[in-house]
Amino acid sequence: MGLTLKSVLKAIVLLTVIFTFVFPIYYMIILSISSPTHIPTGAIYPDFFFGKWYEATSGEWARCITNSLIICSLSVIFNILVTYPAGYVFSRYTFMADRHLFFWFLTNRMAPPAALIVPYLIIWRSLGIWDTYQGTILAYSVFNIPLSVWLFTSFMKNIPKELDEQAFIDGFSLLMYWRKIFIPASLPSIGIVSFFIWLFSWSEMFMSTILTSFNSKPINNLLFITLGRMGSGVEYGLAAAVGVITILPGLILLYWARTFLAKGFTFGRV
Amino acid sequence: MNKHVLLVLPSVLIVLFIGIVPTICLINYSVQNPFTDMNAFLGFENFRKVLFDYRVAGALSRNLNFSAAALLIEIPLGVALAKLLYEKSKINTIASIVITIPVLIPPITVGLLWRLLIYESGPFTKFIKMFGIYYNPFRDPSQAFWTAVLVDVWHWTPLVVLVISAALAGMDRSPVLSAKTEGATGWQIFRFIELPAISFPLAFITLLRLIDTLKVYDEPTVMFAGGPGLTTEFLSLYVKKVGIDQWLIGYASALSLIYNFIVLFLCLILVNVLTKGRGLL
Amino acid sequence: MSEPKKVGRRTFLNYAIAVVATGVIVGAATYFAVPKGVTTVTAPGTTVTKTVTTTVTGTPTTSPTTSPTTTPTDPYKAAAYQCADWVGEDTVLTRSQLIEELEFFAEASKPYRGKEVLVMYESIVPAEWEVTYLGPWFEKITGIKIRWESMSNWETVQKSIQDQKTKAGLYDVIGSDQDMTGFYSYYDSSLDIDDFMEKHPDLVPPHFDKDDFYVRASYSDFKTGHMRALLAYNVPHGTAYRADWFKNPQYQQEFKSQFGYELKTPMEYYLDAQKTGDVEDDWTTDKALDVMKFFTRKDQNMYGFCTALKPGDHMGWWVGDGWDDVFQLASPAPKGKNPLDCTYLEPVTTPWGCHIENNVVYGFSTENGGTLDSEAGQELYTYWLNKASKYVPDKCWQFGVDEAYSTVFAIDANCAMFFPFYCSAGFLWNDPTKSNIAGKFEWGPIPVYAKNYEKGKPRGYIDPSGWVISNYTKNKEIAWLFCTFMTSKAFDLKKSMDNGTPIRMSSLMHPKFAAQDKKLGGLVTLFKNQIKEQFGSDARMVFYPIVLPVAADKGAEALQQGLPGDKIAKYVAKAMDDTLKETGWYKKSLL
Repeated sequence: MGLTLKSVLKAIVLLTVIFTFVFPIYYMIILSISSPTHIPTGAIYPDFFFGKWYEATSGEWARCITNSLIICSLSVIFNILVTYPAGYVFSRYTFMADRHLFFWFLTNRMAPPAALIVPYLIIWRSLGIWDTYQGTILAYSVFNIPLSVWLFTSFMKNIPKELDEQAFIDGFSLLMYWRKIFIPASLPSIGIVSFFIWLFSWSEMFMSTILTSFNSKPINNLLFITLGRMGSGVEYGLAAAVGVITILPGLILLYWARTFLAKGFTFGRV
Repeated sequence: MNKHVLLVLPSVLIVLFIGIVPTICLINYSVQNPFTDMNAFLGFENFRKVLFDYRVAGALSRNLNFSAAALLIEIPLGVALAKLLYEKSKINTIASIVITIPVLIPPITVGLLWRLLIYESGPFTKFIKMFGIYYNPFRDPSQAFWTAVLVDVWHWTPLVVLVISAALAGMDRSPVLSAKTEGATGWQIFRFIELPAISFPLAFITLLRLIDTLKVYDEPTVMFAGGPGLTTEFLSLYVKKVGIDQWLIGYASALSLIYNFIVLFLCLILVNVLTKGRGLL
Repeated sequence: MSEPKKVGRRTFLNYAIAVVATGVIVGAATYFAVPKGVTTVTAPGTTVTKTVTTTVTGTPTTSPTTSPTTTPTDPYKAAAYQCADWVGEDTVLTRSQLIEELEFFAEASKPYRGKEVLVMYESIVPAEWEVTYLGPWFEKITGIKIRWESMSNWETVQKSIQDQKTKAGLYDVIGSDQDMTGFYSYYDSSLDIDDFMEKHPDLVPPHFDKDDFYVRASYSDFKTGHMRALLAYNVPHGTAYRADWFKNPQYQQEFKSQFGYELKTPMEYYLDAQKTGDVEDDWTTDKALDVMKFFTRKDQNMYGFCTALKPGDHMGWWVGDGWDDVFQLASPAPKGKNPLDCTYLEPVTTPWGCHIENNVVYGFSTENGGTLDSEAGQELYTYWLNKASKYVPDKCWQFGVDEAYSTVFAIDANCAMFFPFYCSAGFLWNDPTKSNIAGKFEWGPIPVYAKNYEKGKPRGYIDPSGWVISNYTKNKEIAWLFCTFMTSKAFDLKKSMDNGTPIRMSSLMHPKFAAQDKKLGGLVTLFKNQIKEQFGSDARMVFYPIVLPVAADKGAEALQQGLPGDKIAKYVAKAMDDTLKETGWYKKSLL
């Protein structure tokens, strides 16, 4: 490949774009190892103060990071179990009001979280699932289920119906058909859906402030403390250290999901 | 085979429970003034107040501007980046993984990180000053608004890149090759072959981003907390202020219902436009 | 793609009706079948073992070990002895009193061993100290497990409102913000301490000494005078200033030649005025302005003042906390009483100069008898936002209060003073890894607006955070044991020596605390001289959470629009009064 003007321009544009995305991340890493007196100077090099890392990995912080991991993983499993069959149905069968049902699913994602908080608090409290993992996962389903139903349906439409018919003629039961043929064929969709559910559960902040307390507090909630602690001011270093730590699970999941993404995100055509 | 339709039941039941029941609760609250001493049936009083509230009008218009600006930047930028990173090479693989990191950072950290960047002593301000612009987003409302848009773009464009590049990867390449042999330009290939092929994933991510920008709360609040004065107060922040801070639940419920309806309405329009009336299914 | 199978209409209809019916029934059932008093279902949790983190600053005082003559076999009593050893000499009690107090806890908690208490607290340094040191001792001595939930200040207010409004009983103990006192008492959501002590005399520790808490009034019910919370940390307001600048002889000479009077420290001015009885000798806002002018030399990177000028949230609570006392908006305490001992002030009270008379709420603006937009109120905003703002670094226009003091005052270290602010915040400034002014700052009283000054008016906002026992919890006795342990006479001196926030008169007057005066920047002097003039939030400010966001938003909006100070005062006062009218509080009786 020769150095044409086009490829040089492409390289410059690419590098600029990557720089804009990467610089704040570099800055965040710097912040996590800078002392509180160093940060306000706006320097873009650290002074190698590791106290904030120590704090971010001990006691309450470590526990909340674990909580976040558990909630997100269980959320992924729960949502896939519930919505995989629904995707199957929507992609295979038409029934009365199926399009309306499908769109109604989607409307649940549109609800702004501030709206749902008071009803959730009262209902969850009276059911006894306040401040538990199951309660939080159930609440997160309000925006996870619509998304995964949508994604599964669109992916499964690509798997031809003939496969189903052939299998049933051959005497497969539904479960066997799934196990032997359908699930392996739809693995890319499972990978993609799990990444999305993980992502949105991980980023959710608002609802968890209401629905969790001591036991299932996710890290997003505990980070509120960094916004203003009397005496220490705003804890930038601590928030940055937590940020760096919490990138890791997502990166691992992303790396794994990439193999599925490479297989394609085709939904058919409009 | 019709009994297989029942498989949709678990999802429906769960969403009924967590979707419909709170909505009934909200409707119930919106026609009264619950949790106060002066609880009474108010009819449409709360809704009337919402429609005439200048802060709702302001917040809503800001939200709409924000969504429009964010979408108009994120989607084309994401598509362009996906095309740039499309060819398989070492650099492209690393770049596409690294670019996705912003999406994985918790929202508070994103907000605080950018808050530091845009302070007077922050790196971003120094960078902008090199172009001679006086940059103070904590006093200038339009600068605050555009900074919020910038942060949203920074945070979520990688998701668009992810989806679109996966869509491009899964596309059937043969029409592209035959078009190339016939001498079509890059732009023509993109416009007439690639774009229709990725239209559904594109519609998907556009709709997803529209919904999320209409509900935006985390990053602008951590950075500006409503902005200089009230100038970056988006609707979700206002609902939180009225509902959670002041605990005027009747008014907040009416506002939430109207808010929900507006988002619904806009999404309906977008869906019909993008799928040319055919719907999503 | 082949055609999807068509499902028969009739069978589909059957299934659809069945689904919808199930859904509606399930939904309605869960919505309406609200069992009362459901206790928290806690997932199996881990024991809270707090490791020492870097947030706890200040060297914990070491104690000489005095081994007891007999070691009791009961593990809880043995723990009580170990705890007494740990406290050592850093307590106001004698050794035998200390053992008596701690053994009481081991005894009284017998019926509750193995139970849990759910505590929510704001993660400030004194609280973290309690979590690190006192929490484990409590668990060892009583066998009751503590579930600590740490959160930010804003979250504590929100969650406590949620708990109260939904009566959900979310927590047993709430580490509450002082402004919420009236709210809790009015809605009877906080435990009445006096009543409880009468009903359960066996649960009162031998050295509880209720009268030793010196800020009781702020947390009392205005109708009965009963205590509604146990004080946890008391933080007064003051002026933080650069002692190395104020006491520099060269600067003093220059000041005298420029302004014609001596440059003294705020505490010195205050003490002068106590002798002469003339407010003009006191540390006044005019003097503060002169000092600001004097120390502002931009070429030398020196500024006279540091404050928060971002049009943000603090426009509400900071005015209600400290600025309204600087400008003396409230009425004086009744003759012979100190503001600190008053539960409420009449006819005008703070925060924000509200007119509440004969237990009827009127409002904040002068129309309704309030003082927020009176001449003093207008001067408040003008002084802060128009006059003093000329002497601050440019950075301050971007900061809220937290960052202004922690970044500009403590780290950039180029400002002469900062007021009105919480004195305990300065405790961390002695840590060189957190600030650049270690050993260089001191505390004095806040300045007063001479025109509106009257002896007996509140001078400074004391912010006592308290442990409130929720009235909706089932575990009131356990919560009581927890709260009395944390606030016990046994520990308060040690806590105060490490954190500077005493809650008991005995700790305040103890010579060991006085020995810390230099280290704490003159804090002990401030406490001893000026503490009686401080005042908390009026116990009748029941509608505090409703008006606070309005004060903040309207103030920020007005500042952003560039309105001058007097117009801002009028704008905010009117908006707050309108809110009172809309929510039905105007002319409402609190009885």
